[in-house]
Amino acid sequence: MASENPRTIIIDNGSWRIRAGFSDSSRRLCFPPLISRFKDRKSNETFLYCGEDVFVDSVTKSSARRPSDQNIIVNFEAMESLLDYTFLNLGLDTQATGVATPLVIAENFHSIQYPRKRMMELLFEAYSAPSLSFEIDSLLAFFQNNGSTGLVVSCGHSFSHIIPVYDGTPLLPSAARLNWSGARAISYTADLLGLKYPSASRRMTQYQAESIFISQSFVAPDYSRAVGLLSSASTFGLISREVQIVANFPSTLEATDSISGAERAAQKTDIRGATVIEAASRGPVATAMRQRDTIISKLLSLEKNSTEANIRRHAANKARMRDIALLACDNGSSTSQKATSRNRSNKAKEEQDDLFGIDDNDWTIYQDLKSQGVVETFSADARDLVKDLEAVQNRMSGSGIDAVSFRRIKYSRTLSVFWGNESTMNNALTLNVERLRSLEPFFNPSIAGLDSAGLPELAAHLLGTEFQSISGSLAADIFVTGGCCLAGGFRSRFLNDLARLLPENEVLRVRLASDPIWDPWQGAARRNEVSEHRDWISRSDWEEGGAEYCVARTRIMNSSRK
Amino acid sequence: PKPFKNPNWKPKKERVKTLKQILSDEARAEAEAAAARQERGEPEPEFPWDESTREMYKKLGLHLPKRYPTWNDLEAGPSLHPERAGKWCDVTGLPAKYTDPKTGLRYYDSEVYAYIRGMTKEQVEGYLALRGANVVLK
Repeated sequence: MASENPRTIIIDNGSWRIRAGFSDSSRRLCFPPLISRFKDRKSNETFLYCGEDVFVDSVTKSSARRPSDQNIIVNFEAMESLLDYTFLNLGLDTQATGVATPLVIAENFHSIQYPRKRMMELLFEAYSAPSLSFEIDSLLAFFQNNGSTGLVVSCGHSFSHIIPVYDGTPLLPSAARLNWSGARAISYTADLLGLKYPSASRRMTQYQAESIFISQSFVAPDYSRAVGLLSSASTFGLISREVQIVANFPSTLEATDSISGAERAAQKTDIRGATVIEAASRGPVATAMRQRDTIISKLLSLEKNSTEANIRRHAANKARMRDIALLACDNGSSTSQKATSRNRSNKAKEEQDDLFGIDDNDWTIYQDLKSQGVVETFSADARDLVKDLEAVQNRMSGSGIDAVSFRRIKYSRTLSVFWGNESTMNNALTLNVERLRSLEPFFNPSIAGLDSAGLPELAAHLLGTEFQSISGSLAADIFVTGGCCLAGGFRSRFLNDLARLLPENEVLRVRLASDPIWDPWQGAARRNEVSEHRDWISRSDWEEGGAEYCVARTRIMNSSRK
Repeated sequence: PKPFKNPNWKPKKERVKTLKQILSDEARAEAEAAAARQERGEPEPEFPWDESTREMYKKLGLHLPKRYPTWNDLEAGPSLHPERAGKWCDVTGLPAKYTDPKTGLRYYDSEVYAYIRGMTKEQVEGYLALRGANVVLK
């Protein structure tokens, strides 16, 4: 049976990684979907970096682009470059014209037509693919793990889905999408840490945020109880972790002294706000801050004075212009304001006699006014003050101190525990509640401000209402896949939360995919070997039927029985 | 050299649309098509589901919808038990017993409150944004 079906190229087009390979080969590609174009000014050549090569240099890294907006492919130029990269690395260089093998594209579940249409156009027209098949990644993983009836819960990088499947048929109209995912959890973690440590020198990179998220986050079996551990001094160490970020950070000798001095002083007295501020207020930190504040207030008062001066100058100029205009009227003709009001019947004579402007030299009056007019001058005082301010700021930021770390000394209980000890100095971040908070929105989306039900509640809803008749068979196989399910505690939390929402005697089994990252790809490869009849969209379908027809066919195929 | 590529292929020089734009374009096209159909008095076209899908739905006694599910159809609904979520301190993540009336931030105790009082506007907005509680004025 394996020899009947030709080999295919399977591309799992994920938003975290693109995984590609020949269905019968063990050699696989796995790279992040990024491209970056770099134009070398000297040689005037454009280089294209794909995948991990994008990180080779800061310029390429900063101009990296993704083909997808979340998980929907929107930038087809980038997609084309990535496909070129894929096919080149798979060794298609020596093939005849076009990609000779059928292509299987696995994507996260979505129901939008436009990207599907453009993707087919790209593959059929640019790469001359003989036939295509579009699959849903989580359903392929389900197949790979021998599932046929159950609820497929996919917690991937861009979106999370729950898809009920019965006897190999995905019941797509009843699927649900939750807008929480790995990518959102990562940026949530980065935002939380950015707010916790607001000094500008610690802007985390995407890679750092991802590493911290993957290595430190876990799912609490009971969120309240886990958070409760953090509020008690004896148990917070169970969850709190320090993460060292390797980064350039200016030395802080001068400041450390004052801070540690303050801490020593604080330790002596019973730590409360007032005493500690006093101890610290004599250090160079506090003096620097005081200097900065005085400079700022001086600048503000200077600006205020200058504004007032300007207003006065404006008014003076306006009055002057009015006088001149009146004079010009008197000079140019026999009329003046007084004359006009006196002699209304002589209107014709007045207009005739308004001879201002006939002589070219008359207009020079305006130029004179302009040169004497209001010009904003930045006084010498202000310039000096700004220079002083910059000097103080540099000293302060160079010493790694900012307002927050100064205030941190004040807090002994909650916030010092929260921030960790001396963390800013060593560029080490303390993670306590962030470890729990970023994955919690899968179960409790309102924590992140999403007005949605969590995954267990969505599953319980499906089992309780629409699929009540088959809820027994669905509940017997709740299959969780996607990168986020690898987090510690995910499965048991899901099981417990769901069990609480379902009636007592329901048999409930929650299992994880054996390899959530590669199972979709493996599933596609295995299906290639196993199934006799594979539904394909061929080139002739595309050429004769057109885009609309083909997109509709992929939708039908996705929802039909496998 | 890319022999797998069609040499006559010219990529479309189209502006890259965001997901939002694509969704709104589709919604608009759908609405226009529906309006045009209504004018002509045509009924809504049924989605040509596969035979196996129809049979399965019939067997399970479920209603097979006439349309393929759209992006909005698939969106999860709100929770029926919002009170179970609990209130958490925006700064420390501990249980929030209090809310600051001025900024709207939730806090755990007086220490955190003192810190909130000294926060800059950006920090306050940052914390609120994480909860979706900030007001964005464009």
